[in-house]
Amino acid sequence: MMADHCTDTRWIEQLDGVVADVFNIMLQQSCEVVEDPPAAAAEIDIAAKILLSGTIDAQCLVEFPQATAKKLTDALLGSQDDWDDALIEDAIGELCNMIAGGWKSKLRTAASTSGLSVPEISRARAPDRNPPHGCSLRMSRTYAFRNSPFTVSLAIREPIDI
Amino acid sequence: MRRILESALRHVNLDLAEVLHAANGVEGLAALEESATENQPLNLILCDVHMPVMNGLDFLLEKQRRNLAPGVPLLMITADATDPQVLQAVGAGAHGTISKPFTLERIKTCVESLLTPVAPAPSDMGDAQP
Repeated sequence: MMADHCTDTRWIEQLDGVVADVFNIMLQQSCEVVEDPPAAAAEIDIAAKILLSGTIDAQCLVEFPQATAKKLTDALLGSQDDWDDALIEDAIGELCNMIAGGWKSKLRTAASTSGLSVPEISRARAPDRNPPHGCSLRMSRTYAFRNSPFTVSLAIREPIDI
Repeated sequence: MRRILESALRHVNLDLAEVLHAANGVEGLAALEESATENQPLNLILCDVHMPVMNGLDFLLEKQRRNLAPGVPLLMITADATDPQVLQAVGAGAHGTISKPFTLERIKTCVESLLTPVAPAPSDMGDAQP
């Protein structure tokens, strides 16, 4: 398990549940939490970031090595191919969108007054990984999809309820 | 999302004659204008709520203001089921919504229900997905 700051298992289990739902429903495939991820898992080639702003301020960041991004794109498109960069980036952005939207929908705090941004895609590590000002609750989780790692990070401005 | 959605629809064996893609609402409106100019009938519009440049709700409202593709069912897709724009879109005339992530069966059911012709025009064919 990898949690930068947050040790509240409710938050962590909620994020794990949202990520699992996305893979189970959209891809009919599992996605496992990587306990104590190796340093290699930190390799980042593509990142997508979505901001949630309004009553709730938060940031959802997904970071992928190229190999995992390729596997995810294969799975979403239902075939294997030499996808162009734009399509792979679209897939990563869409995954970020579904995770952020799924997480938002599970909050007890009135989330309808907060809006999601469109995904911001970047190559290599996201240039601005810093969450919005005041986001004191942070968590980062590494998962494995088809034995390849990727990371999902959430930063949230408290207080909100789950 | 466009290619992912098209792939899903083909995977469930929906017979897609032609799919038009648009990256945002502005491109979607342009595609509808072009279809109208070329007298190319459309069967269905699938539209994400969250798009850059022009979002799905604004696309819907502008499409109606310009009277583009009147009567063509429009299915709104969203990753954020709590977004009030989804309800606003339904109130403004969207024929249905589907939340992401969706199963193949779910998207197939939604699309097929909207494609079921009530009184099909002889020349109706093709699909659009702004």
